[in-house]
Amino acid sequence: MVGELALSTVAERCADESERYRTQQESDSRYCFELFRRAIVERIDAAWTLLFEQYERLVMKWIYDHPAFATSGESADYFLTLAFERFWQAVTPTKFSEKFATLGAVLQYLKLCVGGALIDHARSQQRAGKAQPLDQVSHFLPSQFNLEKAISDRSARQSLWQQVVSQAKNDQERIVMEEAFLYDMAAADIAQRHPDLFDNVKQVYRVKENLLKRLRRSLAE
Amino acid sequence: MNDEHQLESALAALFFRATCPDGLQLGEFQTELLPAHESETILAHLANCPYCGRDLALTQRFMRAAQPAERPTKSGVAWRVRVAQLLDSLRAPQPALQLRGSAPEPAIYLVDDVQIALTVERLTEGVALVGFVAGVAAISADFWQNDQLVASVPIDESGSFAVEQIAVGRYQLLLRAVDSAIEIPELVLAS
Repeated sequence: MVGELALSTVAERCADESERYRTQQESDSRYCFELFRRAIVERIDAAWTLLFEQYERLVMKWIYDHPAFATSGESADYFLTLAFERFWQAVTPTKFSEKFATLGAVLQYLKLCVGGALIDHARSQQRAGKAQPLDQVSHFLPSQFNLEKAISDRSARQSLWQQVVSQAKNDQERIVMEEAFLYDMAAADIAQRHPDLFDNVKQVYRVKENLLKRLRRSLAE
Repeated sequence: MNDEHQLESALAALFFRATCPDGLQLGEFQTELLPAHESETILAHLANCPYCGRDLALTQRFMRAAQPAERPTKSGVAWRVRVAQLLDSLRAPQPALQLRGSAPEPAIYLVDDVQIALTVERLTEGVALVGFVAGVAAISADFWQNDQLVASVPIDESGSFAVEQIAVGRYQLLLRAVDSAIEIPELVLAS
């Protein structure tokens, strides 16, 4: 039984079978699946280390293959660590048992973690490109609000967003808030996307101006 | 810059994509791993967000080359991106979309039963683009260039859309529907 083998034997057989798979020979995926199971379900640290060693090269290849890697400005090692961290956090023992019946399914998910890490990095680059010095931003916000935390903490930013968007008095204001602030869209684009709400771009400007005046007062309170 | 403008820039910097699902959530959505209620929330978000539609197209392209082909147990709602190809692309390299004499001919792109016709008109600066999509109830046409969203225009109930002015160059075009998207990975606009 694979489950009764010593961890070192499982890892060796996993390496052998992976090589057979890579060279398109008939292979047995049970040993590698067992390595994942011991790392995730049984939380055996040594299994996690062996798993990392076994799949490091494959994950690196995925990183280099991802369309967003070339412009990321980061090393492949950076995303390697990030992808395994995400995998580790996202795949709980219960999730592993319920969702992953085969080695292929586990590897697909590991690849998804690589993609997620690269996409989130690209997003943070986009956000950084729009960011202003904190001192220009902070005086608009409530004094008790922790801006640095909000920038790095997604849920804090979302909670402040709920506070801001709740001040929209009608659909026009809500759309302007969402598309100008969440999606950074120009007034002309907003007008074109919502001809049912805005007759022309000037109307978008007017709504935005009123909104900003009110927000400035209410955020300062 | 007055206070209102400063505040606007500050809010845009602070909240840019604040409500978007993260990359892994999008991937789980695309591979149908999310519970139905979470998938429904993302589906509703996709109807409005041009950025996540593109992230999904990127994820799908990345995962398409997946080895091995086995997938985790599925449980969610499907959303897929299909890549449309130029009608002439099997016969010749993809030409630039451009004016041909006084009556521009539309470039036709196809995928499954979806047809997309695109026509450009020369302007003093750049070009105008008129499009028509049939076979899918698309809601938005998003033009991307160098990872930047350049234009996002609505598609009406008849499938028509128009960009009043756009610079010549290479674009990625994503036509988003409620439950899917059609991608033209490389659209070359020339005058």
